[in-house]
Amino acid sequence: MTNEKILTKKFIFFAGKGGSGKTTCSASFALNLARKGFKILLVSTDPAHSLSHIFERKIGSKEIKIEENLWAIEIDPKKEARKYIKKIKESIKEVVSSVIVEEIKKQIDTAFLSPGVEESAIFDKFIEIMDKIGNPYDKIVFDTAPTGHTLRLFTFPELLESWIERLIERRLQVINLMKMASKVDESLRKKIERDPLIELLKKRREKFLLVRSYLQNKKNSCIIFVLDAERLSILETADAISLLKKHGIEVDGIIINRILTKINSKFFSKRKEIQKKNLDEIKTKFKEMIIGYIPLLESDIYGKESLEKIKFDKFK
Amino acid sequence: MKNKFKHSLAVISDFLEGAFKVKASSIIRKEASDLNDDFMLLLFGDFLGIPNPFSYFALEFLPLFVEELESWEKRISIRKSIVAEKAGQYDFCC
Ligand SMILES: Nc1ncnc2c1ncn2[C@@H]1O[C@H](COP(=O)(O)OP(=O)(O)OP(=O)(O)O)[C@@H](O)[C@H]1O
Ligand SMILES: [Mg+2]
Repeated sequence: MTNEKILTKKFIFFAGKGGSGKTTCSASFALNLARKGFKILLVSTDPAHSLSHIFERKIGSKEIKIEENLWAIEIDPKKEARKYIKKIKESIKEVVSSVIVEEIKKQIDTAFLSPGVEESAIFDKFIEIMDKIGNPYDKIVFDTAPTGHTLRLFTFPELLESWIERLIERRLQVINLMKMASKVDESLRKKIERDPLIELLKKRREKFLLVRSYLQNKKNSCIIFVLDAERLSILETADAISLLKKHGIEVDGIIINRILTKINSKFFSKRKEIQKKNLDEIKTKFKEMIIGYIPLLESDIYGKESLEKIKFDKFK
Repeated sequence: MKNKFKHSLAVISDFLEGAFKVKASSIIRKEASDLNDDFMLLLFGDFLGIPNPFSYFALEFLPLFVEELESWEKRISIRKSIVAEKAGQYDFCC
């Protein structure tokens, strides 16, 4: 991708419908940037990882060096959640008797099975990874999960913020009432000067706010949708763009994948005709958002050699 | 760090249970107690079967509240109808 503007961004996300080419695009983009001399971390937020497959080597839940200037990681939600729960159980053990510990453990384990856990664990790790920008990475490239997942990931900070906000508000109300009462009780007044829990809640809020500001600030981040020139892809992409807009998140570019070029069979010339129509629609719908296209290649794309060759040519 | 938290949290539950000699306290205390239940509900509602999409992040605060959890759950289960009403106020689902 030669688009100069994208080169100024710190976080570059590749999103799109299942199978549209997110992994292919993010991997080749990351590889190209690394070879330009940027220190790049390539992150997969898709629990069904395929960075390992495309680079033909094991990549795991820890950052691993692929080559000079290029690192990669596949977020493992199960592993992250287990680590997190273990830490919580340990600190509970420090506070209460073993009988209560057993009781609480049951509740934690139930919570561990609830549907939101994987997404929460991914999001928590996502916050941790975004914190690494500037040190040591110049840019972080994200290979995301199919559209639905990614929309939730992007809108999560907003929801979490409003939850934390309400917690802080309630807590302050309780403290304020106690302060009122403490006017006539010296011993109480001394005890409620500061509330460390409020500080802890605010610290959490800061983290959520930071992620949201990274996502909303165009100076920092760039979201690129990859789509095929097919009807359902066009519709899904348009829906996703307008939903994100509602949440204050702007989509910056789209890449059109699997363009039929040198085709001469009868079957494919029909297909090409349809694609031509869809391409026209994409051009009217997304206009200057289009930053590149990739032709349909004769074979699957994996391994550095084929990734190198992918060029996001400017659309003509 | 941990002691600091235990201390501050204990002050609140002491207060709610009437440990301080406060004039005109019962009204204030009642209000504080309701708000505190609200607070706990926002954090650990899922322990009472109220789905909370943020329960994963709430667990971070669990070690600070384990000692109070039992009495809170008892108190709140006596006031089940109130809980249902309060839970209705939270448009939790996304
Ligand atoms: N332009 C192309 N020409 C030929 N094959 C392609 C092209 N783009 C992608 N492919 C192949 O299509 C398959 C899907 O691509 P890719 O894994 O990049 O999609 P994805 O959006 O990451 O999928 P998922 O939603 O499952 O994560 C891969 O086997 C890839 O090699
Ligand atoms: Mg993929």
